[in-house]
Amino acid sequence: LVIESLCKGNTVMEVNVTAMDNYDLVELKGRIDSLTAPQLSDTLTEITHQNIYKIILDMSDVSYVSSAGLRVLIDIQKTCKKLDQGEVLLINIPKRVYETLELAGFVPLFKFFNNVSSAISAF
Amino acid sequence: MSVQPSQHSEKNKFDYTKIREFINLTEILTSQKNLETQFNDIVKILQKSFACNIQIWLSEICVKLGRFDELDNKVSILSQLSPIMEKASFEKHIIPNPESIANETNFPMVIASPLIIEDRLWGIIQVEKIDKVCFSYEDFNFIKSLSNILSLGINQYWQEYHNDELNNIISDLKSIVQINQSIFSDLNRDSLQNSTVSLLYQKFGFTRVNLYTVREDDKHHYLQTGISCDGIVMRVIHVGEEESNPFAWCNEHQEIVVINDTHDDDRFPLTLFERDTNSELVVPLFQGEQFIGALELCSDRLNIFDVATINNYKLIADTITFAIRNANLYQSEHMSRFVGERLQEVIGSLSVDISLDVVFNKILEEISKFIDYDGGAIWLIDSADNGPGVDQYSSKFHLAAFQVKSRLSREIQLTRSGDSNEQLDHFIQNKYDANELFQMHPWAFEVINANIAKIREPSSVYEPLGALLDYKNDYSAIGMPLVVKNQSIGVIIFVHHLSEQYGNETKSLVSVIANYASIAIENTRLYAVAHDQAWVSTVLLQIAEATQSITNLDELLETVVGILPDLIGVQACAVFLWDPSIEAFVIGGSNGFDEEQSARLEAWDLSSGSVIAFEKLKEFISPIVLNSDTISDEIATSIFPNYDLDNELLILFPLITQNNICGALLVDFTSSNLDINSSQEVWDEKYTLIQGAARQAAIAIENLQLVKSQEEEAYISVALLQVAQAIVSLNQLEEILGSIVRITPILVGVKRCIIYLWDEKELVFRQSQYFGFSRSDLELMGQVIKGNEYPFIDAIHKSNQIIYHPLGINHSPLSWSEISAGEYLVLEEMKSEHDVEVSVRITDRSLNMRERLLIGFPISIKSENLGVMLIEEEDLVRGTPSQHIREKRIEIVKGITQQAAIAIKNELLQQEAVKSEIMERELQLAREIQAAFLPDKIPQYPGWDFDVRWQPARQVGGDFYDILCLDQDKIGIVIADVADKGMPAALFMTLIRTLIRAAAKEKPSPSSVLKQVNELLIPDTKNGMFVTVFYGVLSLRSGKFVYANCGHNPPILKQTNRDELIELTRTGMALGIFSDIDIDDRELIIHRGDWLMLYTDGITEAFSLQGEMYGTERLFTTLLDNDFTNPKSLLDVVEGSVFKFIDGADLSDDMTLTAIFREKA
Repeated sequence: LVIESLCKGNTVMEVNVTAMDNYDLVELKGRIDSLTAPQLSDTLTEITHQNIYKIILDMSDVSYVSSAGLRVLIDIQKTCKKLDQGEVLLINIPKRVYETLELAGFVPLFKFFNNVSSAISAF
Repeated sequence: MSVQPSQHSEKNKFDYTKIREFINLTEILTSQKNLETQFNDIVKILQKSFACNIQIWLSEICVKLGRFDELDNKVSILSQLSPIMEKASFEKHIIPNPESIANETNFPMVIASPLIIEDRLWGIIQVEKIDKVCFSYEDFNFIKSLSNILSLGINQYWQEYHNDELNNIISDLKSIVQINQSIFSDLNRDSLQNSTVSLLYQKFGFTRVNLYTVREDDKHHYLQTGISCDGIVMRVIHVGEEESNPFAWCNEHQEIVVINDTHDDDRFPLTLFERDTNSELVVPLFQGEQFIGALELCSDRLNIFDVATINNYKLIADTITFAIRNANLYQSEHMSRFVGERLQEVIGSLSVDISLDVVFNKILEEISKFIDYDGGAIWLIDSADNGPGVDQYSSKFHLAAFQVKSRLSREIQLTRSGDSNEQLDHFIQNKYDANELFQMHPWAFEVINANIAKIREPSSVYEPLGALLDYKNDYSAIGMPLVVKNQSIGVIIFVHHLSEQYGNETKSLVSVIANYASIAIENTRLYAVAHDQAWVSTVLLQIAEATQSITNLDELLETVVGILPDLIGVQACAVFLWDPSIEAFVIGGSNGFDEEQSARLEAWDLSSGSVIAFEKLKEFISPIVLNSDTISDEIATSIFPNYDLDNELLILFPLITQNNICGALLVDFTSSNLDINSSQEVWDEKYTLIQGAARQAAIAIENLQLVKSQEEEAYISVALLQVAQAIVSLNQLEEILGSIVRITPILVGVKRCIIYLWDEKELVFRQSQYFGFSRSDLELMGQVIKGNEYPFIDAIHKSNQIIYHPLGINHSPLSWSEISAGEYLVLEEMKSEHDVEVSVRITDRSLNMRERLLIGFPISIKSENLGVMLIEEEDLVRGTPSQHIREKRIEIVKGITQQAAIAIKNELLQQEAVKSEIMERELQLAREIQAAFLPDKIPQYPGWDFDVRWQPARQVGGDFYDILCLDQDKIGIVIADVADKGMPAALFMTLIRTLIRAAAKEKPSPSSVLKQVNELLIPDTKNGMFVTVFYGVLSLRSGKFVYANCGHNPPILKQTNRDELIELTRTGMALGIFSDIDIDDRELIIHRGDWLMLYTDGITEAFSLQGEMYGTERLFTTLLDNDFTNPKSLLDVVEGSVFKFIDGADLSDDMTLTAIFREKA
């Protein structure tokens, strides 16, 4: 499937996790759609399984988020906020992705920042 | 005739009595409750005062207010107005007019006095003197006053009556609303029926209320929920054609039955009714055109049903119909989902340790929670090569699982006390005897070939279960074929002793079950096959281990016959070798026969042409059964005097090398647990095993012969040919690899060999087949190996080259993983000029030939690495060690690994194909479910034009649209998208659809509908699942459109007088995430000439081959560039534009479009 989508000229998603002192920084690249969403979900679940609930998602290079992608974001946000232990913060969100969140009414579920440092102070 | 006016003095006196009368009268009238008494009193007073005739005319309403037929005889009620009355009615005044009379001398002898209050004419009283004395002026006033009092009385009476009526109507309406509300929110059908009858009983004071609902399209059986003073009773009733009670009549004629007096109805004799029933109403329930039941209302009062009340009950009946439909939908869909989940759990619990039988029985047990059955069974077809049709004469069946409910089995025991059902016992204990049963009761064949669930007709022939349980002929049965890969593999049947127990609901449930059962069977079969293979390969491994170190032919043959009987579980065996020099088979050894029999076999003359069985063996190269066809009587008596060959099983297996017979293996199955009646499966297993043993024995034999001849080149090609044959003749990967690791030692003489397969997904190596390792070593070496844990394997895999490492004398396989990067050497591969021939050369000539090597081979095709094979050279006890032989050996093993690579790749491709087939089947099911729940036709309303497009993606998304008819003027328009794909999306969509439909009937505003749906959804959503919904209510007359948009793509409105497009943006968050969310309503008017288009993200998020997204801008441009006159042209253009854009790329999501045009004036 990955090859198939490569053939179509679509970029595949890349996930890069950096563990920081009290949070994890997750850099995302490419498309979060029904093909790549499971991979993102696995990565994020792995983080929360280590009892890390403060997560910063760097969305700067995300080109597209489908409804499957939105599900992953909501799911992980619910998990992180469940016991007031943390939160998922979004930084550098491209306009088009923000509009997708806005369309479904999910903007109030997330906080948005321009860079990591301003996000950290919000934890 | 002249008339004298009364005297003034008399008038005064008269006045006085009149006034007294007046006072009396008012007292009487105010204390009277009864209108006819009031009339009687007034008449009495008039007649007391005058000698007169009194005639009365009453208005239509007034007639209703009292029983005027009971008035005194002296009064006559006129049905038509007299001339003077007509004048009074017209002028609404007493006639003659007193003012005109005052100036006249001639007073009249007839007076007509209207009964009037506030312009409402109740009636007219006409008083006619019979004593020829004229009325005086005072008489006039007296009569007028009396009339007024009477009018007041009537009016008061009417007011009371009217209030009663009004109150009744109000309370009826209240009750209806209440009933509607409470039954709409009830999605459980039983409790729905209960609460409906209870409410009707309480609110309307009927003596009994019955609700009949048809049992799943079965015209003759109804579920009756009845309530009376005895409480609620639910039961199933049968409506035969011969009965003629009101319900049966309603059932037959399908129209409303009104009986206002049970004592006087031509259609029904009084005896049909309960004693306390005086009036009765039966309202049919129609779902569309379909009659689904009736509501029966009985009262002890007479004449209680008039047009108005009947309409009310019709209204309630409509509501009940809707509620039942909703409940049915909800229940069957919830049910299917629930059943699916439960069965999935059962299937999920499958493992190697659980046998097929256990799984089937578990499935039957699980199903008993959903389907009421007395007996259930699963039969499987043994022979799968019959093609798609299953033939009752050639297919073999065996019973795979069987359950009889304990309640029933007790009954059986009771009815047959002592004489237990022998047939049933026989059936359970001899599961392979099913065929005879099927031949006798062929209904099961109909089921298997039907492809869908089949319900037995009461008059049908018996199916096997019903026959065994000895049911009456009208018992119920439902069956469904189990299908895997379009092939029927079995059948599942449930029976119930009562008649007509199963209908459409059960049918769809059984379909779901059969689907899951098929998957379970397939899975379990795969497990079972893997399990069997493990056993087979263990046995073959032992044979290989036992034979590989033997260098002497006699010893080898002895070993083979020595271990076979115990390993395979047969009585005895003997091996014969073909000796071409004398053209005869010669016995090589036997085991398990008694001495006399052994001697007979030793003495057997097997020269060419003398024994038919051996001739056939050479001709067909396949196993031959020894019987009267293959063994002459003479031989049978001389060689097999103790065998009854036609009833005992002796089979001759060929020992084959390169399609030539090198010998034969005679196996005696007598008194083993295998007999002619054993199932195909058991037989297949043993058969495979013996064939494998025979093959291995043959290879060993030939190898020994070849070693003798020392023909090396021939040896290599023969060796590879043998491997190739093994691969071609087997079709399971593990079997092939097992065969490879067993053949390799025989061919090239290695001490140990093992294959690891590369798992591309998990990035690990998995231990596959092996030879020469102790169990404990294997365990310690690990089943799953990560590259970094085992540098030697990792190096082979990464370099894709053959590498080796010298092993010390006491080197254990456990230390292989410790060989580090610097310690191994890469084997140089020599390529000829044309890169065609490849040979290997060990460059390190200093290598001590006495040192054994561990050699690792990549198993790869082109550059794709599929695994590695490790071999450990054998201890050099045999032959002269030479570098040359070592190189040849490596060449052979390299050839073997190439064969292995082909087999592995083949298997991987096959797995993918199977996986995609299963997925495809699920997708198909999901598509069907989804399509079934979308409206099949778009309703059309005058002044409006609707059109819809729905294009499912290959991987079904959860789009749906719906158009609800709310009332005569209002319709609800829904478009929604579930954030999921495949089966879960389809099922979720049906749930939301039902919830919206239920809520839309209850709640007036779109926002409140979606709020309720959201709350009901929350418990069902998992993993961030959500659904975007747009729901609007359109008033057809005014064009008013009230909507709520929960995170859905904004529908687009184009107004006729404006150039830009208006988006109906979000008024709330998508549903299913948080409870208690804020949703607003918005309102606009769709004017004449305007249009509205609704769509899902499948449109805007359609991707081109270049990965570009269609997007809203493109959509807007498309919409603005064209002038649309009807919805079809609009949708054609939009759809065309999207398809052109994606240019043949797959749809990534469902595409749904709805367009609504309001026609121009």
